[in-house]
Parts: sequence; structure tokens; C-alpha cells
Amino acid sequence: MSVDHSDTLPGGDSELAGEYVLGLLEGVELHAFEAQLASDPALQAEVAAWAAHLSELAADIPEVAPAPAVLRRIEIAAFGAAPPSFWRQLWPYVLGAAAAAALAWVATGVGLVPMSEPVRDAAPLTARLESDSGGVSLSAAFHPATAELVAEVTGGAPPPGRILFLWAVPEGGTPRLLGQMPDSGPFRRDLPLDLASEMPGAGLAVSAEAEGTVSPAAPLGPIVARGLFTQP
Amino acid sequence: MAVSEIEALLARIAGGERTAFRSFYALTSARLFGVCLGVLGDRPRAEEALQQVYLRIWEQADRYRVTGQEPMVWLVTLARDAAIDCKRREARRPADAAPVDLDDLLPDTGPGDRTPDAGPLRLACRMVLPPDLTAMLRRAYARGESYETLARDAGVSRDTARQLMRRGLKSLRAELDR
Repeated sequence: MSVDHSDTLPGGDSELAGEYVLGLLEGVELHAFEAQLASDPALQAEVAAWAAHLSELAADIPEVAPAPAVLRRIEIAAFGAAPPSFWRQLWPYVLGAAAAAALAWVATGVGLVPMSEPVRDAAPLTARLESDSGGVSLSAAFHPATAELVAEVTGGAPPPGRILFLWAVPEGGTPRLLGQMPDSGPFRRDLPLDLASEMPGAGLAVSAEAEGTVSPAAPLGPIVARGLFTQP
Repeated sequence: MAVSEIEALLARIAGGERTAFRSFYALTSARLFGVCLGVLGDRPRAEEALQQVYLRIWEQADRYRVTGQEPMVWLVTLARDAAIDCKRREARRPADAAPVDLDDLLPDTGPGDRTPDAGPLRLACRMVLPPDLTAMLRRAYARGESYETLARDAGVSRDTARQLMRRGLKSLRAELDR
């Protein structure tokens, strides 16, 4: 016992540990205690026991919601910059598609390119889904005639313990959960009419979700691949 | 909020997952902000302490397992430590923001406290501590008061306050060990 108060004060190290947890030690005494704590497992256990017991008193303290700006400040400090939302992560792709569509409209509108609607309707849309960090890649095709969407992993594997989910991101719209990628073989799904009509120019994304946590509202796990449907 | 849910989120935060961090903040920030506000007494300083707490969680979520503590014990300890550090640093600087009413924040339920979920500590307090010492302990914990303040409010000397507190801690420890 390197910090001895037994001559003047009741108790010993255990009481000192309690005072330490309460924040009642100060100055030289605090520094001496922390120096001893660093190399004394029994004292560390005593501090942990007091912290656990005294935390019962925290239940008396009412919860108070912090102002919304606090989370933004914390995220900027933690992540280095305002974190992109799911939608913003895909935005460059969708913006590219919108620009291409606008350009096509201008070109056909001024008669530079002959309209070829029947051909375009029949051809499938294809997408290559890649990751920024070399995680998973997929190829996907959408057949307008049958409204069938097919997607298959072409490289990489989900992170351990994660399951891949496929999302459609219609231009200017919110992500829609398409379904879980099978462990092997292609994902196939006939899309409902409203979603099928939005596939031209839409983005596709794959998120890696922890088991049992997927929410149809938005991905909770990281986006491991993304891409955009383009005309053949 | 389930322990397993918080632990699962901490594991994902340790893996650098930002969405997990946001879910975790949504679940825990009101509790931890309450703890900071109890100690510091005004929102700007409590927000500053809260920011330090969550930065530490983001950077050191992997250390949680090493401590072997319950997640809420670990979190509340982080929040109290950050708030008490902040209080000490700025002890010489008067708060310029309007203080919150601490008596509203911390209703003194006193020795007749019949909280249904009273745990071992509260039961031990009822068994072995005089009511005024229980109140002193609660104020030291929830408001991070120093011996000087506790002694002044109790109308005793600092040495007497400390002797009372240490005697109380000794009795509590013995009761908790039974």
C-alpha cells in the first residue's frame, strides 16, 4: 500500500478507490493514486467494482436529449468531414446518368440523332457494380420486356459475418430494397411495374448487412459496390 | 436499451462503421448528456464534454472489451470522467451560460427512496448509511462536487466531510461484500 491513510482516515485502498471513482481525489494524492493504479491489478479491480456499483446512481439522473447540432459537430470531428448520406454516396453516378439523359434529349431534340425507341425498348439495360475499395463486384441486367432483374457476384466476397443486399436507387428517388443476394448463383426478381419504369438511369447498390439487422428503409451496413444502368 | 444491442453496435464501431456510430449515438446520447449536464450544470460545457466522450468512443470502441465492464457502466464512467475533467479545468472560469436548475435535474428522493429497481448499492445505502451521507454520496456522484463544496453545504470542515465519506464507503463496501 503505497498511499497510506490508515493513521488519519478510516479505511484504506478500497475507500481511496471509491473516492477516486467519485472524483474526490485531488492534486498530489490523485497523481499518487493513478501512479499506483497503473501497476496494481488489485487496485484496478477495486476501481472497476466501485465504478460498477456507483453507476447505479446514474439511473437517478434524468436523460436529456442533446441539441441536434452536437451530433454534426461530433461527426465532423470524428470522421474528418460531414459524412455523406447513402443518397450522396450514389449521387455522382446518378448525376452522370441525368447528364447523359439530358444530353441525349438535346441531341435527339435538335435532330442530330435519329430516334430509335423500338430498339432501345427491347435491349436489356446492364450495370457493372464496383467498389471503391476493391471489395465486391457484380454484373446486373434488367430486361424491360419482362421486367426481370438479374444480378450476379463476379468477384470478391462479403466481409465475414455479413450478408449482401441489393438496392435499387431510382433517379432522384429513395433506395428500394430488392432482396438478399444468394450465396451462389444469380439473383433474379421480376420487378413491380412502378419500379421497373424507373430502372433506366437508376443506380444499383450492394450493402453488407450484419445478420438480422437489415431494414427495408435504408441500408445500415456499408455500401460495398455500386453502379448504374446504362443503355447497351 | 438492451446490453447485447449496445455491445453489437460497439463492435461495429470498432470496425469503423459510421452508421453504427449514429445508431449508437441515438440510443445512448440522452443518458450520457444527462450525466454530463448533471456534473457541469450548463448546456454548452455539457455539449463539449459529450463531444469528447463520443470521440473517445469512436476512437477507442475496441477498448471496451478489455475493461470487462457492462457497456453502460463503461459509458457512464467515460461521461462522468469527461465532465469532471471539464469542471476542474474550468473551475477558475465562471460559467457564462445560464445554469440549468440542478434540483430539477436531480430530485432528492432521499432515504425513503422506493425505486422499484433499487440495486445492491441503493439497498446497501439504506442498510448502513445515514440519510445525509447517502445524499452527500449522490451529490458527489451525480454532480461531481468536490469535498470543499460538500463540506461547505453540510456546514462541516473539509476533513470532517472526508472522514464521513470514507467511513461511509467502508461500511458500503462491507455491506456490498456480504
